Amino acid sequence: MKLALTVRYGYDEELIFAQQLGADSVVVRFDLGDPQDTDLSPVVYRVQVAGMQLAGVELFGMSDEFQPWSNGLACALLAAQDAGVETLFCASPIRQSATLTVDLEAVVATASATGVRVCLDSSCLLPEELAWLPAGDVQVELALGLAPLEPGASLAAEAAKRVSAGGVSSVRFDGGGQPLGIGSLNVPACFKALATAGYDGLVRAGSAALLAEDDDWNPKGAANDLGYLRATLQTLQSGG
Amino acid sequence: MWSNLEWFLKAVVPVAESAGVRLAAHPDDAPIAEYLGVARILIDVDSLQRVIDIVPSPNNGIGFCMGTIGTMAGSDVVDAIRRIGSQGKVFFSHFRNPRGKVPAFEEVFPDEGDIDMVAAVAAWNEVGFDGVIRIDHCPGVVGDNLRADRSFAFQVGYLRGLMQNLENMGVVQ
Repeated sequence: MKLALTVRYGYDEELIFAQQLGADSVVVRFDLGDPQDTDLSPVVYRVQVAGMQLAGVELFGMSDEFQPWSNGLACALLAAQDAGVETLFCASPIRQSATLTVDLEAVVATASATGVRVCLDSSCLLPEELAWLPAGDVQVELALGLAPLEPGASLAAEAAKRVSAGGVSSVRFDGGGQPLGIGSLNVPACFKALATAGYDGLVRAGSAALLAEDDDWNPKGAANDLGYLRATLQTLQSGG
Repeated sequence: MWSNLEWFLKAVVPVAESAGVRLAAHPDDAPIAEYLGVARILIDVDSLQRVIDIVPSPNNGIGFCMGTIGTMAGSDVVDAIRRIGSQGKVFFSHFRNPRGKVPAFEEVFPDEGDIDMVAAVAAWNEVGFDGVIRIDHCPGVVGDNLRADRSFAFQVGYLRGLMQNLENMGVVQ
Protein backbone atom coordinates (compact mmCIF):
# COMPACT_ATOMS: atom_id res chain seq x y z
CA MET A 1 0.00 0.00 0.00
CA LYS A 2 1.08 3.57 -0.67
CA LEU A 3 0.34 6.54 1.57
CA ALA A 4 -0.93 9.77 0.10
CA LEU A 5 -1.49 13.16 1.65
CA THR A 6 -4.29 15.38 0.41
CA VAL A 7 -3.15 18.93 -0.34
CA ARG A 8 -4.78 22.04 -1.75
CA TYR A 9 -3.87 23.25 -5.21
CA GLY A 10 -1.78 26.40 -5.20
CA TYR A 11 -0.20 25.99 -1.78
CA ASP A 12 3.35 24.77 -2.30
CA GLU A 13 3.98 24.69 1.45
CA GLU A 14 1.60 21.75 1.58
CA LEU A 15 3.56 19.89 -1.09
CA ILE A 16 6.81 20.45 0.81
CA PHE A 17 5.07 19.36 4.00
CA ALA A 18 4.01 16.10 2.32
CA GLN A 19 7.50 15.54 0.97
CA GLN A 20 9.16 16.17 4.34
CA LEU A 21 6.83 13.86 6.22
CA GLY A 22 7.46 11.02 3.79
CA ALA A 23 4.14 10.73 1.97
CA ASP A 24 4.52 8.47 -1.04
CA SER A 25 2.30 10.70 -3.11
CA VAL A 26 -0.24 13.51 -2.97
CA VAL A 27 -3.85 13.94 -3.96
CA VAL A 28 -4.40 17.57 -4.97
CA ARG A 29 -7.78 19.18 -4.24
CA PHE A 30 -8.95 21.27 -7.16
CA ASP A 31 -11.97 23.56 -7.41
CA LEU A 32 -13.59 22.63 -10.69
CA GLY A 33 -15.19 26.08 -10.94
CA ASP A 34 -16.02 26.63 -14.57
CA PRO A 35 -15.43 23.16 -16.01
CA GLN A 36 -14.92 24.45 -19.56
CA ASP A 37 -11.75 26.25 -18.50
CA THR A 38 -10.23 23.38 -16.59
CA ASP A 39 -6.47 23.06 -16.99
CA LEU A 40 -4.75 20.52 -14.79
CA SER A 41 -1.25 20.87 -16.25
CA PRO A 42 -0.19 23.43 -13.58
CA VAL A 43 -1.17 20.91 -10.94
CA VAL A 44 1.04 18.27 -12.51
CA TYR A 45 3.91 20.73 -12.87
CA ARG A 46 3.84 21.93 -9.26
CA VAL A 47 3.78 18.38 -7.94
CA GLN A 48 6.72 17.42 -10.16
CA VAL A 49 8.71 20.45 -9.01
CA ALA A 50 8.14 19.40 -5.41
CA GLY A 51 9.54 15.96 -6.22
CA MET A 52 6.30 14.22 -5.38
CA GLN A 53 4.16 11.64 -7.12
CA LEU A 54 0.65 12.75 -8.08
CA ALA A 55 -1.80 10.07 -7.05
CA GLY A 56 -4.72 12.00 -8.45
CA VAL A 57 -6.80 15.16 -8.40
CA GLU A 58 -9.76 15.48 -6.06
CA LEU A 59 -12.48 17.64 -7.58
CA PHE A 60 -14.76 19.83 -5.53
CA GLY A 61 -17.11 22.67 -6.31
CA MET A 62 -19.13 20.36 -8.56
CA SER A 63 -22.86 20.59 -9.10
CA ASP A 64 -25.26 18.70 -6.87
CA GLU A 65 -27.44 17.88 -9.85
CA PHE A 66 -26.52 14.95 -11.99
CA GLN A 67 -26.46 16.38 -15.53
CA PRO A 68 -24.25 19.41 -14.81
CA TRP A 69 -22.15 17.21 -12.53
CA SER A 70 -21.68 14.72 -15.33
CA ASN A 71 -20.87 17.46 -17.83
CA GLY A 72 -18.34 18.97 -15.46
CA LEU A 73 -16.73 15.62 -14.86
CA ALA A 74 -16.48 15.05 -18.61
CA CYS A 75 -14.57 18.33 -18.96
CA ALA A 76 -12.32 17.37 -16.08
CA LEU A 77 -11.64 13.98 -17.64
CA LEU A 78 -10.52 15.61 -20.87
CA ALA A 79 -8.33 18.03 -18.92
CA ALA A 80 -6.86 15.13 -16.96
CA GLN A 81 -6.11 13.27 -20.16
CA ASP A 82 -4.35 16.32 -21.58
CA ALA A 83 -2.29 16.87 -18.42
CA GLY A 84 -1.45 13.22 -17.82
CA VAL A 85 -3.45 12.90 -14.62
CA GLU A 86 -4.34 9.25 -14.13
CA THR A 87 -7.08 9.49 -11.51
CA LEU A 88 -9.84 11.88 -10.55
CA PHE A 89 -11.50 11.65 -7.16
CA CYS A 90 -14.94 13.10 -6.61
CA ALA A 91 -18.22 12.71 -4.81
CA SER A 92 -21.29 11.84 -6.84
CA PRO A 93 -24.43 13.95 -6.51
CA ILE A 94 -27.12 12.53 -4.28
CA ARG A 95 -30.14 11.40 -6.26
CA GLN A 96 -32.69 8.65 -6.69
CA SER A 97 -31.25 5.50 -8.11
CA ALA A 98 -33.96 4.74 -10.68
CA THR A 99 -31.79 5.82 -13.58
CA LEU A 100 -28.52 5.02 -11.95
CA THR A 101 -27.00 2.72 -14.50
CA VAL A 102 -28.05 4.95 -17.38
CA ASP A 103 -26.64 8.00 -15.61
CA LEU A 104 -23.32 6.49 -14.77
CA GLU A 105 -22.86 4.73 -18.08
CA ALA A 106 -22.27 8.13 -19.66
CA VAL A 107 -19.52 8.78 -17.14
CA VAL A 108 -18.11 5.32 -17.73
CA ALA A 109 -17.95 5.96 -21.45
CA THR A 110 -16.14 9.27 -21.04
CA ALA A 111 -13.68 7.79 -18.58
CA SER A 112 -13.01 4.92 -20.93
CA ALA A 113 -12.45 7.24 -23.87
CA THR A 114 -9.90 9.32 -21.98
CA GLY A 115 -8.22 6.47 -20.13
CA VAL A 116 -8.56 8.40 -16.88
CA ARG A 117 -9.85 6.60 -13.82
CA VAL A 118 -12.68 8.07 -11.75
CA CYS A 119 -12.83 7.20 -8.06
CA LEU A 120 -16.24 7.90 -6.58
CA ASP A 121 -16.49 8.54 -2.86
CA SER A 122 -18.25 5.53 -1.35
CA SER A 123 -19.80 7.64 1.41
CA CYS A 124 -21.89 9.51 -1.20
CA LEU A 125 -23.00 6.43 -3.10
CA LEU A 126 -26.28 4.65 -2.68
CA PRO A 127 -26.09 0.93 -1.90
CA GLU A 128 -27.31 0.16 -5.43
CA GLU A 129 -24.53 2.27 -6.87
CA LEU A 130 -21.92 0.57 -4.73
CA ALA A 131 -23.23 -2.79 -5.84
CA TRP A 132 -23.10 -1.75 -9.51
CA LEU A 133 -19.57 -0.42 -9.39
CA PRO A 134 -16.88 -0.86 -10.58
CA ALA A 135 -17.77 -0.19 -14.16
CA GLY A 136 -14.83 0.15 -16.46
CA ASP A 137 -12.65 3.02 -15.31
CA VAL A 138 -15.25 4.27 -12.84
CA GLN A 139 -14.25 2.79 -9.54
CA VAL A 140 -14.64 3.41 -5.84
CA GLU A 141 -12.72 5.14 -3.10
CA LEU A 142 -13.67 3.41 0.12
CA ALA A 143 -14.36 6.13 2.67
CA LEU A 144 -13.99 4.44 6.04
CA GLY A 145 -15.28 6.27 9.06
CA LEU A 146 -17.85 8.63 7.61
CA ALA A 147 -20.71 6.26 7.00
CA PRO A 148 -21.14 2.51 7.30
CA LEU A 149 -20.73 0.66 4.05
CA GLU A 150 -23.49 -1.59 5.24
CA PRO A 151 -25.46 -0.60 8.35
CA GLY A 152 -24.73 -2.84 11.30
CA ALA A 153 -21.90 -4.71 9.64
CA SER A 154 -18.28 -4.73 10.72
CA LEU A 155 -16.53 -1.94 8.88
CA ALA A 156 -13.37 -3.97 8.47
CA ALA A 157 -15.28 -6.97 7.11
CA GLU A 158 -17.28 -4.80 4.74
CA ALA A 159 -14.14 -3.09 3.50
CA ALA A 160 -12.56 -6.46 2.81
CA LYS A 161 -15.71 -7.57 1.01
CA ARG A 162 -15.61 -4.51 -1.22
CA VAL A 163 -11.95 -5.09 -2.03
CA SER A 164 -12.66 -8.70 -2.92
CA ALA A 165 -15.42 -7.52 -5.24
CA GLY A 166 -12.83 -5.44 -7.11
CA GLY A 167 -12.73 -1.87 -8.30
CA VAL A 168 -11.39 -0.26 -5.12
CA SER A 169 -8.63 2.10 -6.19
CA SER A 170 -8.23 4.05 -2.99
CA VAL A 171 -9.08 3.85 0.68
CA ARG A 172 -9.67 6.95 2.77
CA PHE A 173 -9.72 6.92 6.56
CA ASP A 174 -11.80 9.71 8.02
CA GLY A 175 -11.71 10.39 11.73
CA GLY A 176 -14.90 12.44 11.58
CA GLY A 177 -13.31 15.51 13.16
CA GLN A 178 -10.99 13.51 15.42
CA PRO A 179 -7.34 12.72 14.74
CA LEU A 180 -6.84 9.11 13.64
CA GLY A 181 -6.25 6.97 16.71
CA ILE A 182 -8.56 8.99 18.93
CA GLY A 183 -12.06 8.20 17.75
CA SER A 184 -13.98 4.98 17.30
CA LEU A 185 -12.62 4.17 13.84
CA ASN A 186 -10.47 1.04 14.18
CA VAL A 187 -7.85 1.76 11.56
CA PRO A 188 -5.59 -1.21 12.43
CA ALA A 189 -8.46 -3.70 12.05
CA CYS A 190 -9.45 -2.17 8.72
CA PHE A 191 -5.86 -2.21 7.45
CA LYS A 192 -5.47 -5.82 8.42
CA ALA A 193 -8.72 -6.76 6.69
CA LEU A 194 -7.79 -4.83 3.57
CA ALA A 195 -4.37 -6.46 3.37
CA THR A 196 -5.83 -9.90 3.94
CA ALA A 197 -8.25 -9.26 1.09
CA GLY A 198 -5.30 -8.44 -1.13
CA TYR A 199 -5.61 -4.67 -1.28
CA ASP A 200 -2.36 -3.02 -2.31
CA GLY A 201 -3.46 0.41 -3.54
CA LEU A 202 -3.57 3.94 -2.29
CA VAL A 203 -4.37 4.88 1.30
CA ARG A 204 -4.98 8.39 2.52
CA ALA A 205 -6.49 10.23 5.45
CA GLY A 206 -9.67 12.23 5.06
CA SER A 207 -10.18 15.77 6.31
CA ALA A 208 -7.70 16.44 9.08
CA ALA A 209 -8.97 17.34 12.52
CA LEU A 210 -8.55 20.90 13.74
CA LEU A 211 -6.13 20.88 16.67
CA ALA A 212 -5.35 23.78 18.99
CA GLU A 213 -3.74 26.87 17.48
CA ASP A 214 -3.46 25.30 14.05
CA ASP A 215 -3.40 26.95 10.62
CA ASP A 216 -6.39 26.97 8.32
CA TRP A 217 -5.38 23.79 6.51
CA ASN A 218 -5.01 21.80 9.76
CA PRO A 219 -1.41 20.65 9.28
CA LYS A 220 -1.13 19.36 12.84
CA GLY A 221 -4.07 17.05 12.32
CA ALA A 222 -2.70 16.02 8.93
CA ALA A 223 0.72 15.27 10.44
CA ASN A 224 -0.87 13.15 13.14
CA ASP A 225 -2.88 11.19 10.60
CA LEU A 226 0.07 10.59 8.30
CA GLY A 227 2.18 9.40 11.23
CA TYR A 228 -0.60 7.10 12.35
CA LEU A 229 -1.03 5.60 8.88
CA ARG A 230 2.74 5.19 8.50
CA ALA A 231 2.90 3.27 11.79
CA THR A 232 0.01 1.11 10.70
CA LEU A 233 1.66 0.28 7.41
CA GLN A 234 5.01 -0.47 9.03
CA THR A 235 3.38 -2.74 11.58
CA LEU A 236 1.61 -4.58 8.79
CA GLN A 237 4.82 -4.90 6.82
CA SER A 238 6.65 -6.23 9.84
CA GLY A 239 4.33 -9.21 9.86
CA GLY A 240 1.52 -7.92 12.00
CA MET B 1 34.52 10.33 36.42
CA TRP B 2 33.13 7.04 37.67
CA SER B 3 34.27 7.63 41.23
CA ASN B 4 32.70 11.07 41.13
CA LEU B 5 29.44 9.64 39.87
CA GLU B 6 29.49 6.93 42.53
CA TRP B 7 30.11 9.53 45.25
CA PHE B 8 27.25 11.65 43.90
CA LEU B 9 24.76 8.78 43.63
CA LYS B 10 25.57 7.46 47.08
CA ALA B 11 24.84 10.91 48.42
CA VAL B 12 21.64 11.69 46.56
CA VAL B 13 19.91 8.34 46.09
CA PRO B 14 19.09 7.98 49.82
CA VAL B 15 17.62 11.47 49.72
CA ALA B 16 15.61 10.53 46.64
CA GLU B 17 14.34 7.44 48.44
CA SER B 18 13.21 9.43 51.46
CA ALA B 19 11.57 12.01 49.23
CA GLY B 20 9.85 9.38 47.07
CA VAL B 21 11.52 10.63 43.92
CA ARG B 22 13.11 8.46 41.26
CA LEU B 23 16.38 9.49 39.61
CA ALA B 24 16.74 8.62 35.94
CA ALA B 25 20.18 9.03 34.36
CA HIS B 26 20.13 10.02 30.71
CA PRO B 27 23.01 8.65 28.61
CA ASP B 28 25.54 11.09 27.22
CA ASP B 29 24.30 12.49 23.93
CA ALA B 30 26.19 12.11 21.64
CA PRO B 31 27.64 8.91 23.13
CA ILE B 32 31.30 9.67 22.54
CA ALA B 33 34.15 9.32 25.05
CA GLU B 34 35.11 12.98 24.97
CA TYR B 35 33.40 16.18 23.89
CA LEU B 36 35.09 19.60 23.95
CA GLY B 37 37.74 18.23 26.26
CA VAL B 38 35.30 16.78 28.76
CA ALA B 39 35.16 13.04 29.35
CA ARG B 40 31.82 11.26 28.96
CA ILE B 41 31.12 7.91 30.55
CA LEU B 42 27.50 6.96 29.81
CA ILE B 43 28.24 6.00 26.25
CA ASP B 44 27.21 2.36 25.99
CA VAL B 45 24.66 -0.01 27.47
CA ASP B 46 27.17 -1.52 29.87
CA SER B 47 27.76 1.91 31.39
CA LEU B 48 24.01 2.31 31.97
CA GLN B 49 24.03 -1.03 33.73
CA ARG B 50 26.92 0.18 35.87
CA VAL B 51 24.91 3.24 36.97
CA ILE B 52 22.13 0.93 38.10
CA ASP B 53 24.55 -1.36 39.93
CA ILE B 54 26.57 1.36 41.72
CA VAL B 55 23.72 2.11 44.08
CA PRO B 56 21.04 -0.58 43.95
CA SER B 57 17.79 1.17 44.76
CA PRO B 58 14.24 1.32 43.40
CA ASN B 59 14.87 5.05 43.07
CA ASN B 60 18.01 4.75 40.93
CA GLY B 61 17.46 4.02 37.28
CA ILE B 62 17.70 5.13 33.69
CA GLY B 63 16.08 7.62 31.38
CA PHE B 64 16.15 5.37 28.36
CA CYS B 65 16.79 7.63 25.37
CA MET B 66 16.17 5.42 22.37
CA GLY B 67 17.84 7.99 20.15
CA THR B 68 21.07 8.20 22.10
CA ILE B 69 21.26 4.47 22.71
CA GLY B 70 20.52 3.90 19.05
CA THR B 71 23.63 5.87 18.10
CA MET B 72 25.93 4.03 20.53
CA ALA B 73 28.60 2.03 18.74
CA GLY B 74 27.48 -1.57 18.35
CA SER B 75 24.18 -1.03 20.14
CA ASP B 76 20.90 -2.81 19.50
CA VAL B 77 18.06 -0.80 21.01
CA VAL B 78 15.58 -3.67 21.15
CA ASP B 79 18.10 -5.83 23.01
CA ALA B 80 18.87 -2.89 25.31
CA ILE B 81 15.18 -2.44 26.11
CA ARG B 82 15.02 -6.10 27.07
CA ARG B 83 18.20 -5.92 29.13
CA ILE B 84 17.59 -2.72 31.09
CA GLY B 85 13.80 -2.73 30.92
CA SER B 86 13.43 -6.22 32.30
CA GLN B 87 15.10 -5.07 35.53
CA GLY B 88 12.42 -2.45 36.10
CA LYS B 89 15.08 0.22 35.93
CA VAL B 90 13.71 2.33 33.13
CA PHE B 91 11.77 5.24 34.62
CA PHE B 92 10.88 6.86 31.33
CA SER B 93 11.82 6.61 27.69
CA HIS B 94 12.54 9.09 24.93
CA PHE B 95 11.05 7.99 21.62
CA ARG B 96 13.50 8.84 18.86
CA ASN B 97 15.00 7.04 15.91
CA PRO B 98 18.24 8.36 14.37
CA ARG B 99 20.04 6.95 11.37
CA GLY B 100 23.66 5.87 11.78
CA LYS B 101 25.92 5.53 14.81
CA VAL B 102 28.76 7.54 16.28
CA PRO B 103 30.74 9.20 14.87
CA ALA B 104 28.34 9.75 11.95
CA PHE B 105 24.59 9.82 12.50
CA GLU B 106 21.69 12.05 11.60
CA GLU B 107 18.32 13.04 12.97
CA VAL B 108 15.41 11.69 10.93
CA PHE B 109 11.73 11.14 11.52
CA PRO B 110 10.90 8.15 13.72
CA ASP B 111 9.67 6.03 10.82
CA GLU B 112 12.93 6.52 8.89
CA GLY B 113 15.70 5.61 11.32
CA ASP B 114 17.67 2.44 11.89
CA ILE B 115 15.73 1.22 14.92
CA ASP B 116 12.91 -1.22 14.24
CA MET B 117 10.30 0.84 16.11
CA VAL B 118 7.63 -1.83 15.77
CA ALA B 119 9.92 -4.32 17.51
CA ALA B 120 10.94 -1.68 20.05
CA VAL B 121 7.39 -0.92 21.15
CA ALA B 122 6.68 -4.64 21.31
CA ALA B 123 9.79 -5.03 23.49
CA TRP B 124 8.60 -2.33 25.88
CA ASN B 125 5.44 -4.32 26.35
CA GLU B 126 7.36 -7.59 26.62
CA VAL B 127 9.38 -6.29 29.58
CA GLY B 128 6.27 -4.95 31.29
CA PHE B 129 7.19 -1.30 30.98
CA ASP B 130 4.24 0.83 32.06
CA GLY B 131 5.98 4.18 32.33
CA VAL B 132 6.06 7.16 30.08
CA ILE B 133 7.35 7.00 26.51
CA ARG B 134 7.83 10.58 25.48
CA ILE B 135 8.27 11.67 21.88
CA ASP B 136 11.53 13.49 21.34
CA HIS B 137 13.04 16.01 18.98
CA CYS B 138 13.09 15.25 15.26
CA PRO B 139 13.62 17.25 12.07
CA GLY B 140 11.72 20.45 11.52
CA VAL B 141 8.74 20.72 9.21
CA VAL B 142 8.03 23.57 6.83
CA GLY B 143 5.99 26.37 8.37
CA ASP B 144 6.20 24.96 11.89
CA ASN B 145 6.20 27.11 15.01
CA LEU B 146 8.93 27.29 17.64
CA ARG B 147 7.33 24.43 19.56
CA ALA B 148 7.61 22.24 16.46
CA ASP B 149 3.94 21.32 16.78
CA ARG B 150 3.66 19.82 13.30
CA SER B 151 6.70 17.67 13.82
CA PHE B 152 5.45 16.53 17.22
CA ALA B 153 1.97 15.84 15.86
CA PHE B 154 3.49 13.46 13.32
CA GLN B 155 5.37 11.68 16.09
CA VAL B 156 2.33 11.47 18.35
CA GLY B 157 0.33 9.91 15.53
CA TYR B 158 3.17 7.53 14.73
CA LEU B 159 3.68 6.36 18.31
CA ARG B 160 -0.04 5.99 18.97
CA GLY B 161 -0.35 4.12 15.68
CA LEU B 162 2.34 1.64 16.69
CA MET B 163 0.77 1.06 20.10
CA GLN B 164 -2.76 0.63 18.77
CA ASN B 165 -1.67 -1.65 15.95
CA LEU B 166 0.24 -3.87 18.36
CA GLU B 167 -2.79 -3.86 20.67
CA ASN B 168 -4.95 -4.91 17.74
CA MET B 169 -2.56 -7.79 17.07
CA GLY B 170 -2.66 -8.81 20.72
CA VAL B 171 1.06 -8.10 21.07
CA VAL B 172 0.58 -5.16 23.43
CA GLN B 173 -1.97 -5.10 26.22
